[in-house]
Amino acid sequence: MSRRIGAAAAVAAVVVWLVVSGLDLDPRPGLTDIPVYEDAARAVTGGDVPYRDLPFEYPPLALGLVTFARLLPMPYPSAFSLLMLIALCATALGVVATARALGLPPWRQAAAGAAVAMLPVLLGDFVAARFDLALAALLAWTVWAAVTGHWKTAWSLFAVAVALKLVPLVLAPLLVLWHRRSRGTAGAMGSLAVALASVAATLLPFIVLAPGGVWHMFEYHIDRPLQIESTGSAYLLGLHALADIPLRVESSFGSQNLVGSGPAAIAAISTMLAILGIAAVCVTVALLLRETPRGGENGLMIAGVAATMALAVTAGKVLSPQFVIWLVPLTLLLGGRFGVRAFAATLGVLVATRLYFPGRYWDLVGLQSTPIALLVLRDALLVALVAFAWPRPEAAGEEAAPVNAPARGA
Amino acid sequence: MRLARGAVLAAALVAAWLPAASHAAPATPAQGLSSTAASAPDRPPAIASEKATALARGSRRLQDWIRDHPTVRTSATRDAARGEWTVAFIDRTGRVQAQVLVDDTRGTLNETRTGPQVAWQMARGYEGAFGRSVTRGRIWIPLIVLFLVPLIRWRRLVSWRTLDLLMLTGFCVSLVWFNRGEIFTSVPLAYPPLAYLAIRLALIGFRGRRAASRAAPDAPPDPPAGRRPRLTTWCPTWLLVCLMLLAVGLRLGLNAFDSNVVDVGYAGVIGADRIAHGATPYGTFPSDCGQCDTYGPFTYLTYVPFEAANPWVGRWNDLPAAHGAAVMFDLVALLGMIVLGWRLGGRRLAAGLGLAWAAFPFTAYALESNSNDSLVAACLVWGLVFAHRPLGRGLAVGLAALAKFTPAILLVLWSRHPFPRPGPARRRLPAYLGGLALAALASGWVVFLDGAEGARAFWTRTVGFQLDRESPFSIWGQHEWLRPVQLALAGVVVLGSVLVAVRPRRLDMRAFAALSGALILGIQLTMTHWFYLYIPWFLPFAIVALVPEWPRLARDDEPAAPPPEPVAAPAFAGSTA
Repeated sequence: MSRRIGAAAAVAAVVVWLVVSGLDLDPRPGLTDIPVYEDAARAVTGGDVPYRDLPFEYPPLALGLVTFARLLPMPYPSAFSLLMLIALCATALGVVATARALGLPPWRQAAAGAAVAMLPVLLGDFVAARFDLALAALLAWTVWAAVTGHWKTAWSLFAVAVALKLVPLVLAPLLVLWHRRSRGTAGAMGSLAVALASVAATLLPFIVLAPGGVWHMFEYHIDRPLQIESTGSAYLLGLHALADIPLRVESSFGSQNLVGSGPAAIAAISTMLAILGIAAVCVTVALLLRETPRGGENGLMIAGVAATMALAVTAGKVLSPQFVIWLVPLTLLLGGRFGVRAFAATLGVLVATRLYFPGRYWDLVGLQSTPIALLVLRDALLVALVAFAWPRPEAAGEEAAPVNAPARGA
Repeated sequence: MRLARGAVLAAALVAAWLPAASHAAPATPAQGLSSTAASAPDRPPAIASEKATALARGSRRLQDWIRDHPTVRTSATRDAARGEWTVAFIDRTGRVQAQVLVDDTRGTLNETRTGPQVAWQMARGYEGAFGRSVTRGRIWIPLIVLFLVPLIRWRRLVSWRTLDLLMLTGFCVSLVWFNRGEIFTSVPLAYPPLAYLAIRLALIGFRGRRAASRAAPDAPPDPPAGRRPRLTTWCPTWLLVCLMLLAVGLRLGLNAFDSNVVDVGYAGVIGADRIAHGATPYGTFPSDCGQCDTYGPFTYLTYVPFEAANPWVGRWNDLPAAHGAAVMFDLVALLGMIVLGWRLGGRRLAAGLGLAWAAFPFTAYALESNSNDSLVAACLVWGLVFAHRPLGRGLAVGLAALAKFTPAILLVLWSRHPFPRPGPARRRLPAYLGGLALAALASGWVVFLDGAEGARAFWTRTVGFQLDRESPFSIWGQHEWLRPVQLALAGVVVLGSVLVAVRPRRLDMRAFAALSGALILGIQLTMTHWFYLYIPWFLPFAIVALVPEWPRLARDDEPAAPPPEPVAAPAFAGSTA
């Protein structure tokens, strides 16, 4: 049954993708990252050394992905889109497989698969112009591997995800807590060390060749100002719409940002809130795990992982529209009544993003009221999503062994 | 013991004698007369003074005013820097009855000031002078909705609760005319809600819930005695919390990015600067805020840490220290409401009281003006939180009185213990007096920083100034023939403040809060200068007494309700004094 659901979701994803591509719903040539990727791929294949001759804001594996698209025998945009279509199908399969492993009812499995398949409609066809679907696929299968106890696979996929985009690092503490339940502290910490060493190994050649360039990659993300779609920015834009507070928008770091002392303070506060929030999720999960029967932790851990990623997206100082793709493989899988609400909130986030991006994006940059209202709605839904995904005792399963049962392989 | 009680009574009488002294906001002096005298010989006027006067006479508002207030001469002065003529219309007593500002270049009328608008800048209706954007409909109306909709019982729409909440928001009607600069309409409109709330709270305090229920035939049946107060509303607790957070986020954002600092906040920063330099604030203020040293010493002390972090630079700039202090007062009051609600009725009431404070437009008005008025509310709310501890009660009311004097009217009432706690009553009054003494010691030293000179200045700059004060911001100030009524009313309030020493015989938490609110409102009704920023002073009492469902009071012939559950859920109701 579940395999059929997964296959159906993958087929649906392909069909939806082809239909949306054929209709060309959002012909916005200025809002695609593909030319940036193509330029990078051309430079790499031309012999440039990444991070030295070619400034690049993502880890090396992302460079590998965009370069691989250039090696395919078709125009670069088509090749990149094809890779993202494959990633979408992989995400759909991973989400359905995880839903099944978590014991979610068939209708929830089908709904999760359908939601992933419908991403190009719900969020827009710009999902083909960013590589975030690849990250979503990796997250989906990382979570599946953790749920099913395939920890080597889980850590390997985690390392690949971090090497593709740094953000999955925020999940490391929870993965350690999760792994520790079945394999003990030493096993979990060892796996984390190996995963991080693998990521470091991908960076090592570039650190040797261009240490300044690699550091610049990190510095780039640290120095970024408050991006206009972030939650902190939505707060300021809301105040602007209500009270005409003065705001200044500047384009830098490949995005449109709010600049000035006020936005800088909000950026610092939101970053602090993100760190504190993620720490709070970890502490909550650690406390709840003590009262959770062994083997019943999967629901709780999924909630923790979803809440952590939602916090990272919501409270970060940059919230590009494609970032919400990262949530899809996690927040659609939560059980219980809050799980249904999280599912609905996720769909709401996707649709609200679609309503202003890309069609009204430049109106937003022009500080017009309607896109501001839509952005505030979207970011409020993200906050609600964090609340719905927050780990609760009822997220833990009850069918498992007693809490003091010996750990497997501990 | 009688001596001590007598001392408290005397203090209360002094407080009651200062109905006008107890409120503080010094009037911002009009800039009109003093600023128009300058002239620059290097820039010749485009129009002559006679022409400017003739243009000024064309003002419709001027004509309406001088029809009832005849003038005998005019005086035209030109501000070369602003390129503007100020034409003053003066009556036979030498009083300026009106001013018309004429653009020197274009010959157009820039502004017409009549009556009190000449001397009082705050009477001119300048947009955003108080509260900035919070007074805009797109913020003010949503705040009213946030306040009313969750707290109204929609299934019992025709009820005292609805009327009480509407009366609390009834000050908005007055504010509309104030914002237009029509204070002869706005001022009288503030009195119906003031009077209603004072009478309603006094009735609740003296007669208890049974009386209120009899007066309201549609009121719901009384809940059984001995239970905790509860918040009956359609709104789930999680939504109350979310709405409270939404309101708090809006207020803080507006304070950070939109608000201005009125003279009340400026005063706090200057006073803190004086204290930090080892001088008493009284009689040492600069000329641009000359009458701003009229507050109690505790007010200035609370600004000291903020002024230390953002020192005053000697002028009226953005004043980040005033922002910090105002935000702190607001958050401390909010936290007090939440803790009070939690102690009284659990988390739902906590969320309800927190929302009531955060969404109430006039607390936002005080915050966006960066005034010090929420400090009084903060002290009094925490006094309610610690009402079962005489020392805490005394300390809280003492600090509130040393912030803005008005709460001194509560000294007698708060000397009573509103709980059925066992233990010797005679120990409570000394503890209460100890709290008062602690408050006096904690902040009174500021008065003596310059020795006896400072103490003398304290008296003349605070009580002396307020007693002689004239203001058009009360019906008493607008209509001098009403002064006897004002005095009579003040007498009633003073008598009431004494009467509460023995009545009601049973004093539970609701009666305690209601009578506190009634006394504060009574003082405000008799003030010569009343302003919207004073609403937060009584708001916590009104909310606590009017919004939750309180348990029925036990009758005199019934045994008192059982003592409360310990610590986690102290039941404050249904008790005897």
